[in-house]
Amino acid sequence: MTGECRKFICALFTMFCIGALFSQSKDDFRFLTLKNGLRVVLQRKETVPLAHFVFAVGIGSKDDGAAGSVHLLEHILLFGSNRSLGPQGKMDALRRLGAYFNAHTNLDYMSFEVSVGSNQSGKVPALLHENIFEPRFLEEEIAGEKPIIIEEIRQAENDPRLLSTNLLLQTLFSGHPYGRPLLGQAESIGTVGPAQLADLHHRFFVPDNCVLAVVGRIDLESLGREIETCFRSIPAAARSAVDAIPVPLPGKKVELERTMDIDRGYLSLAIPAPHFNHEDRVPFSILVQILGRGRNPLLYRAFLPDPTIVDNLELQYMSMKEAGVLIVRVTAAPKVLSSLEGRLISFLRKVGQMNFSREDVYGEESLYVTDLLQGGKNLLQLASENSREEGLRLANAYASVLFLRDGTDVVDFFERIKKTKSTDLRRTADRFLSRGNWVRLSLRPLPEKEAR
Amino acid sequence: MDKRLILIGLMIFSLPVSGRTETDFHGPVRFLLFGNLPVVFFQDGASEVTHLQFFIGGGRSAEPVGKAGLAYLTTRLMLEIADPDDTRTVIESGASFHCEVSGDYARLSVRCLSANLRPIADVMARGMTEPIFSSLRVSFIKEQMDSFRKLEEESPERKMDLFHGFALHQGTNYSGSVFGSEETLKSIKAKDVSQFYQSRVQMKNMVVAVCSDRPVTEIREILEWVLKKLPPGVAPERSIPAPKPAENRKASDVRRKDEAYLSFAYSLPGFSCDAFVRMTLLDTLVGKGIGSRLWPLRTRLKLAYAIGTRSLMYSGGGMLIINMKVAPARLPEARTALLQEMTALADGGIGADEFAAIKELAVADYWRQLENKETMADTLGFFEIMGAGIEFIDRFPEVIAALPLESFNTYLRDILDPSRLSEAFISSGDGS
Repeated sequence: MTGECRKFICALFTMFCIGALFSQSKDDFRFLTLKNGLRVVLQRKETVPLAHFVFAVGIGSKDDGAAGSVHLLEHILLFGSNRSLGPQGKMDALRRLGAYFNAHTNLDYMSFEVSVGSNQSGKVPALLHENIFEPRFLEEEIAGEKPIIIEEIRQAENDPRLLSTNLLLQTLFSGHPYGRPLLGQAESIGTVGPAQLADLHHRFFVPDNCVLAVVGRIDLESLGREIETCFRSIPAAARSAVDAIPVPLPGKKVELERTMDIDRGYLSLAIPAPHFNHEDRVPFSILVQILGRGRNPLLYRAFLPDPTIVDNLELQYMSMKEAGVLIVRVTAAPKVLSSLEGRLISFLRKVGQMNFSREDVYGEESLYVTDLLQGGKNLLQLASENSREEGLRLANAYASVLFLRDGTDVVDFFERIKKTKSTDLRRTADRFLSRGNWVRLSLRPLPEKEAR
Repeated sequence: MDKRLILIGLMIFSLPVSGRTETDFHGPVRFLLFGNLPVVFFQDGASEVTHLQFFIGGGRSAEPVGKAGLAYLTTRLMLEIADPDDTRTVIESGASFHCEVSGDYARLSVRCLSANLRPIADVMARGMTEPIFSSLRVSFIKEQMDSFRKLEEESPERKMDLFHGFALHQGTNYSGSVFGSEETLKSIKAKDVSQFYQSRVQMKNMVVAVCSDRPVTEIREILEWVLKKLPPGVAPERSIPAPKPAENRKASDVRRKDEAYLSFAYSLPGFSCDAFVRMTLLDTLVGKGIGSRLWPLRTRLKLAYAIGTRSLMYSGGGMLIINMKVAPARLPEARTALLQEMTALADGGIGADEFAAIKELAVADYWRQLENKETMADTLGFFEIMGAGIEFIDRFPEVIAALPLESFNTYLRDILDPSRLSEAFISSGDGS
């Protein structure tokens, strides 16, 4: 094992985001880099007799030349023919293994998930290799998958939550690859053929742009050997270099209005937020917990004296490699939507001046103060703890961190949570919640429905 | 100092004090508190989180006639916190409380960091043993229930579920909304809540389920301390409801959106270990995972964008529900294809290879669910209160393995009979 490798294992043990989550002994954990550059993480987790595999590739919607080709590629690798089996044969083989098999594409990377009983784990590396590295890209299969994707896009357009998230991201990151539609666009998908998919596959599906994470009741030695045997034949090649483009953000508030066939109104804000490696990610994450989660989320105070005016309040913080965004979404009666906007914005601007912990208050008064900072820290820790329970989530977390984290610096996530103070929250709120360079979207019912 | 040494140091200091270890699946344990209250417990060191759940026997089937919603209202009121100090404790701990009412029981649950278990369990136990059923509180929760019911009515899937309940579980409290109706809620007074509470919330009618990284001795000690005020009581008589199918088992509705839904439900026998195993296999065969019987309707025939199955099981009966989201113009075609597939299954059964495959998948899915500590606690409590006992957690894979193909094919023929079928459709407003 090289010094670099050892350092990396240590870094993984105490890693950013899933931090000091992996306190297993070294015997339960292995990190390998194959000669061709493929990074492999193996972790024993023995609660139940299962093995979970996540194979992730550094290609996301941001790499999508024709909007939708990356999403189509994911579908073809998941459902299309490979070198030895057609779609039905593939399905039958997976079912015989008792496998759960799925794939996802996000802005930064694509992941394939397989979960099987641990007695079947030795068969999965070959299955992954065949499906991910030996696709056939048959014209007929590609044509057959397009209507399904187009329908998926149409459904997202009919869903007020998905529609608003897509519109907000496209507007906030306009001019940057993150602004490309995640699912693609119906018109451009129609033009994608086998040659384009093969080209994308050739450029991005190279070992040093891939990560395999396995968590479960596994034998590290024998599974490590099996993985090496299956994947070592893939020639080493560097992925096509793509220069990072600075993320342009709007200089001022952008306002969007839409109507659709809904009964309630949706008011959404997209606020630029810390990216994955930003020093403010931990305090911002705590702030999100305080504002939008747990018992009595703080953001409801924006609607006092009658917080029940709001049907629902959601906060979604996405931290990508090069940018971050906080989406705040309020559902309410359409007629009150405009008044809610003012109250919400004015409240968010004041967050940077608020007290969050007992330390902010002097004397006896501190005895009666609710320590929101402590609550936020505990909520964040609970969320991290939950992700350790299920092997598939854990394997996904490994893959995600390996793609998103810069360098190999050791940053203990829980330690950073512990050290965060009220002043850190105020500073972060000042930086991100008081600028006003947001995108606001109002989704209202169709005029005839609203009139009723 | 060498950076590597710092790293190793960090690693050592990141080991929690509780000495977290991953162990083999040793199976859950059961013990009695105060000689009356069964506690089922599974230790899982995967996270420093504890799930504590209280199962109260009765649920909706214990509601008196005309008082639908009483079980939910009573259970929900036990989660209301009266003392501001308690509210502060809960907010600062990040703990979350939840309640759910099923056909046969009500469940109060809490999730918290294990380090906060003692104060949080104390808050929860006080809500449960000293609830306040004031008219003001009762009215407030009733208002919430009214809006939850309206939200249910807006959801096409939920609307179809409700219809299946009326069609297949007639004559029982399993049908209808858990939130009751406007009329039944009006008829429920604070004294009804009080009476229902007193007849149900007692040790002999309850099971406590816990999944935690902490040792059983610590859990036992905390529970003994916080539950000392719970009355021992007497176990209320349990009668098993006997649902009957309604004559009208077909319903349709219209929505404006450009989408259509199709849903089939088959009535299943009431809970037993054998019925649970067969239901799980049926659900897996029909709708679980890539390659299920419904999968070709999406991939080959392109008839549905989304397909899913769910199964419900109560003491008196259960249901397999199949939901499909389809293009409005293809709704009749999708219905025909689904009916053909289900008829073929009933008539022809399945072969040995497919049976072996669904057994493998059903067991793997079972373990996948139990990896989650909340589901583990829920499953422990469910098996215990339904009479199967927590021993069934370990036995489930063996029982599946032992089931003969012939017996399963006979089951398919019985269950997928048209007399057990309820159909619901929601089409778009263009007349398709």
